Amino acid sequence: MAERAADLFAQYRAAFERGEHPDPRPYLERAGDEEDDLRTMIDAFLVRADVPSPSPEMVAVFEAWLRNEPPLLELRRQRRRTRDEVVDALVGTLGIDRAKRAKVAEYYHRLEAGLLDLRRIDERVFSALADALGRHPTGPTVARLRPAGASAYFRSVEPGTPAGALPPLPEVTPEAERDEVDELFTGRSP
Amino acid sequence: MSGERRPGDPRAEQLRARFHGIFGPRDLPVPVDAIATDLLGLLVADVDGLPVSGALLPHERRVLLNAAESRESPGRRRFTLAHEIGHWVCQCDEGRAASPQIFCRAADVETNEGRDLEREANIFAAELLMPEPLVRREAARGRGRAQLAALFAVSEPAMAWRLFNLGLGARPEEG
Repeated sequence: MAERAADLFAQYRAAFERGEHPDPRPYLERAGDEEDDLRTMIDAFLVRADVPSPSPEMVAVFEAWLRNEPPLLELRRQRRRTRDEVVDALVGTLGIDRAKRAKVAEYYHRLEAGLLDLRRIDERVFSALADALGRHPTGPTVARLRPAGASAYFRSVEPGTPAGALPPLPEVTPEAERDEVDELFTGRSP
Repeated sequence: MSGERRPGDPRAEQLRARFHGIFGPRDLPVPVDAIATDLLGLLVADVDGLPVSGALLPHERRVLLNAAESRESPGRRRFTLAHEIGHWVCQCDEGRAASPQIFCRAADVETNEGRDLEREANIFAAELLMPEPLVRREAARGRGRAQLAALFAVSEPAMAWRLFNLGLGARPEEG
């Protein structure tokens, strides 16, 4: 009996039966040399499994996407987690130096706002988010959004201030100073 | 500002209620940073060298605040943040509006449309930071303008206008 595969299959099945539509790939990656065993188990299960009704939480997340709201934001609100709590969890789970917390916060904002290329995000980030939010954030929960318009609203100090003088937003990290945080959020080959 | 009293904005009260429903009740002052960040998913950053008090970049869900002003007056910072939240709620429909119609900046302020949007955001901000029932309750307890400003963590001029608009104080001097 492939114990590792069986254990991972039990986790996958439990997530499926909770209505989470789990992505099998992370489970397969963790199976090591029992990957084929696990793939067979999952295939056999999916052939006969009833598709579960989505949970009210997932309905709310999908509805958020339909409204062009960030689904990950809706999931975080459903879980009643503050952004600081999620960022702290990412820093802790990913073993990132606390001194780099602000950078993680910036990247988490971009992820939550649908501004990152999901294909470049390291799977460890999604796993850490799953720990923080209780759901693996794949599919509709991290779908990209339509842009919310390219205008800007200003509150001026002095009438007549030239609004065009706003400084451009910097990249999170200059190319020469990229570190493991940049690699986690933007480093994977698409 | 006009000499007429202004009504409040029910959307501000609804926003506070949503926040409390998800994250639990909070004491005064109104947690405007948490409303922006935790409820609305906006990133709030104090930026040195910003040539305006505040800016909302809808496509990035980002609010930039003038860092020098923030250091000088935390109450003014809170009002500016609440004002930008007003734009986000009232004009951007929390990001659901595909294309905000107004590019509101200094050059546009002279238009009626620009003035109306700024006024709407200011009314929203006042209502968000200084909820009418709470201001009335605390004023009835005999707190003066300075005490109320401290309790709600706003500037004294902002509280003076709020008291005027609620019929609880004289019209402030403009200046």
